[in-house]
Amino acid sequence: MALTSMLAVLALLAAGFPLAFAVLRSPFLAVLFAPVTAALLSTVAVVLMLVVGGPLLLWLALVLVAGAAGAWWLSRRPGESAPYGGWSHALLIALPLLPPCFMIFEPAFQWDAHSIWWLHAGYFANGSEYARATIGSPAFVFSHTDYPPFASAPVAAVWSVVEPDFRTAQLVGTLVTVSAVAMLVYLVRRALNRVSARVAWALAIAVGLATWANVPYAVTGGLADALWSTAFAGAAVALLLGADPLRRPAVPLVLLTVAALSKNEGLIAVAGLAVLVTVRGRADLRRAALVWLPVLAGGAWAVLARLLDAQSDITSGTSDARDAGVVERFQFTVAALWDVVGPLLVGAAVVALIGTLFLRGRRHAAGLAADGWVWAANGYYLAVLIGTYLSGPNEIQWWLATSVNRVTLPVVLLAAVSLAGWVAVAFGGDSRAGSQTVLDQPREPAMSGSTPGTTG
Amino acid sequence: MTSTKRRDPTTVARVVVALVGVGCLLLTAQGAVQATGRGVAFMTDREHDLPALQHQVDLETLWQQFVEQVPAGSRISLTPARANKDLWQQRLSELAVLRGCVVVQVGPRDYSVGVTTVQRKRPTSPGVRLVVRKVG
Repeated sequence: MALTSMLAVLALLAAGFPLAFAVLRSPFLAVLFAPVTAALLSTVAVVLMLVVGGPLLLWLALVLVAGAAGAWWLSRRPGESAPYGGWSHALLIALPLLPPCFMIFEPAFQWDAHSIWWLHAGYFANGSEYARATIGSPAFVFSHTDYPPFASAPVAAVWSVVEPDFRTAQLVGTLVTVSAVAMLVYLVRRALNRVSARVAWALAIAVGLATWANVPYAVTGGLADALWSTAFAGAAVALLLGADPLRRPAVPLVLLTVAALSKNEGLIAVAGLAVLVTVRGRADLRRAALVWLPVLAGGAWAVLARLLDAQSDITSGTSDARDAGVVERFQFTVAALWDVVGPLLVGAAVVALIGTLFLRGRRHAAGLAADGWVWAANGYYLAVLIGTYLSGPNEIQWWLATSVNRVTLPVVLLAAVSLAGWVAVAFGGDSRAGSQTVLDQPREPAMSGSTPGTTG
Repeated sequence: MTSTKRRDPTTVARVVVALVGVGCLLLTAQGAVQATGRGVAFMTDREHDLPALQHQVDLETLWQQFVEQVPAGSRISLTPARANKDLWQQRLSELAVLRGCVVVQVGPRDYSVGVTTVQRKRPTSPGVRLVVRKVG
C-alpha cells in the first residue's frame, strides 16, 4: 500500500508537471503546482467520460496527451519565467506547510471523505455507464452526487489503475490541497513584491498557515473545503490585491476553475469574485471577461449533474420555517459564525479601518489595490453563507455544528489576506516610493500588456 | 524634564496596525500549530485517537470481506444495521461502489449485504463483520 501511495504521488507530479511548467516557466514552482494541474486534467477526463461515454482510463490517456501537447505549444510561445521561481523560493513556500501535514497520520475516517468524495471517486473509476447510473440513483442521494468532481477526479484516476484503498485517497487529496495552499502562499508573496522580502515571505506563509485555522484535519482529511477555499483565496489575492491583476492571469484562472469545480458554494463564490474583477477591470473588459470562464465551467457541471438526475438536499428542498423559525435560524447562524470567525473579523476590520484612514498612501506606494475589494468578496461570501443556512433544509443546530468550521474557511483566509496587506504596509519603509525595501527579485513592470507573451 | 513632543498619527497607526494585524495572524496560525502537535502524536502513537483507528480498522476489514464474498458487478441490497444505521448504510454503499456493485432498493438482486458487530479481541481488532446472504 505504501508503494502504491508513493507511485500515485509520483504519477500525479509527472502528469501535472508539463502544463504547470508551461504556465509558470519555473521547474521548482511547477513541482508545487503540478498536483493541481494533474487534478484539473483528471477532472476534464471525468467530465468527457460522463458526456461521451467509455472507460475513465481511455479518457485519462487522451487528456494527458492533449495536456502535454498544449504544454508544448504554450512553452514555445514567448514568455518569461514567473517571479520568485528559484529553488530557494519553492522551499520557502513548501517547508512551512509540511509540519501541519503530519495530520496525514490521522486515520482516514472523516465522514464526508467517505460518504461523498471517495464514493464519487469510486463510481468515476468504474466508467461512464456505472457513474451515470449511480449519480442518478435514489440510493445515493445522501452522497450529494451533484457536487462537482474536482476533489474526486484525481483519486478516481489513481483508482482506475490500482485497487482502491483509503490511505492512497487520503494522500492524493492532501497533495492536491497542499498544492493549492502553496499557490496561495506564492500569490501573496507575488502581490507583496514591493515590500521587504522578509516581511513579505513571513506574511505569505502566515496566510498559507491560516488554512488550518479552525479545522486541523481540513487539508489531510480527504475533504474539499480547504481545497476550494485556498484556491479561491489565491485567485482573490491575484485578482483583487495586486496592482495589475490581469497581467498574469493563468494561475488565478486555474485556481478559480478549481474552486468552481470543487464544491457548489465554490461556484457561487467564484461567480461573486468574477463580478468584482469585472467591475475592477472594466477599463479592459475583454481581459476581465476571462474570469467568467471558470464560472462557465462550474455552470456546465451543474447542468450536466442535473441532466444525469443528480439530487442534493440543498437543491431539492428548502427550509419550511416560517418567520419565527427564520429568526431563530438567523440567531443560531450568527452566534455560530461569531464563535468561529467573529474575533478575527473584528480584528481585521479594526486594522482595515485604521489602515484606510491613515495608511492609504503607503498602501498605494506598496503597489496594493484598495482593501475594499477583498472585503467585498468576503462580505458577499458571508451573506451567501448566512442565506444558505437560513433557507437550507437541514435542522439548523446540527447543520451548523457539522459544517460551520469548514465552510467559514474562505472568510478566515480573506481576512488573513486583508491583514497581510495592511501589515505589509505598516512594516513598509518610506511611503514615497518604497525605495528602501529589501527585494529578492527585480520588480515587475507595472503596466498590463507590457509583456504580451506572459502566461503565468 | 518631561518631553511633550507629539507623535505622528501615521506612526501610531503603523504601530497599531502592525500589532493588531500580527496578533490576528498569529491567532489564525494556532490551528497549524495544533495540527502539527496532533500529527506528531498520531505519528508516534498509532492509538492516539482510538475510536478513529477502530473505525478505520472496521472499514478496512469490511472492505476485505466485501472483496472476498461479493463478486464485482453484483446487484445487492443493503440490510439495515442494528446500531449506527446511517453510518453503515453509507459505508456499505461506498464499498459497493468501489466494487462496482449496483445498490438496488427494489427489484431483483443477487445478494443482501449487512454489518453485524462483534466483540473486539484487542482494542485495535475489528469490531464488525460483513454479513452476506445470496438471494438470487
